[in-house]
Amino acid sequence: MTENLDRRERLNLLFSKYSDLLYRIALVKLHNREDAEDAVQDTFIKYLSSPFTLYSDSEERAWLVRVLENRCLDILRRRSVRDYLPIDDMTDLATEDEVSQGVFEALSRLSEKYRTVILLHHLEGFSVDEISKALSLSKSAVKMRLSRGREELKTILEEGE
Amino acid sequence: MFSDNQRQSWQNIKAPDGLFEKTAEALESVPTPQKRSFKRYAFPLIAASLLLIFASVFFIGKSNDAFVYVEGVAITDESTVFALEHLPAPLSRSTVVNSSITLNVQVNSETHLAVSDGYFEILSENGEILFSGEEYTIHSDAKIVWYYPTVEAEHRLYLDGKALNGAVRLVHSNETAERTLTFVKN
Repeated sequence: MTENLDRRERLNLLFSKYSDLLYRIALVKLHNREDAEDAVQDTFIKYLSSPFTLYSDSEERAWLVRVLENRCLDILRRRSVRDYLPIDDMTDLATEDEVSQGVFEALSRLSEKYRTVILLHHLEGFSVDEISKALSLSKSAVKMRLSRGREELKTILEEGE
Repeated sequence: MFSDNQRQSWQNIKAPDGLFEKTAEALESVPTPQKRSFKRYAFPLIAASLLLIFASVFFIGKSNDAFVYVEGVAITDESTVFALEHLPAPLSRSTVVNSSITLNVQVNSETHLAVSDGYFEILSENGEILFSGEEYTIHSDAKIVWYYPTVEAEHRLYLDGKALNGAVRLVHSNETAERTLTFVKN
């Protein structure tokens, strides 16, 4: 009972720090609210079920993003073709706000390879080092993806104007 | 790139209200992880550390050996031939793959893995997929399954680490029902 309370408190702390961030990433990757909720839930449970401890907020955040990424990949792998939601139908999934809908749509049109690094760096404030840890990429690979992703995003944003 | 207004609006997307309770309920059904007491693990830890020191001394000077294994056989600069087994590969990824091979990669330092074609999965001891993609940096031994397309005959798994620096060259032949693996040092 005490352990459960302890875990609930830990969940509460983690949730207040990372739930919005993880939910936004999952939403962009999965284009589906329910799947995004499942991915976030599974990520927190996996973290709280692990016996190890991470020592800094930065490590913790990177670890959670990495687990979420893999969880999203599992969900996409299991999802059948009929569940796929075209971009035009899902722009209103994220929010009622027109501005964030525009951001959401631009991210969704970006190549998968660049989407997460652009999202983490330009919208969530991750450093190159943090992205490198979270996505298990070398720093040079992160920088390269950021540079190419920016080029692609620029074209997408210009087309949208 | 994005304006302050766009960033601000983006940050306003929040996780749904009910998600915390849903997660807390699900968490109750998951067993609490075992807490590790130092006393309980002290002896095995000390013993393992001593063993590691002896092993390190013993293996010093042999760090340039290949540490990639297929079916228990080390892949060296001499070609090794394996019978071809057609293994079903997942179809969900966009990359067209129609064969796969399992490799055990032993490393003693951070090593970056990347494949020329297809993608690979890193599996845990109980077969859970820990990673799936085209490149990854490992810090300890890893079991990987590499899914590759057979439209090309030759493929490479690049390994960039201190001790393990080079590539595993894989030549696939449907005609002879074999594949040949060679470790090519950088």
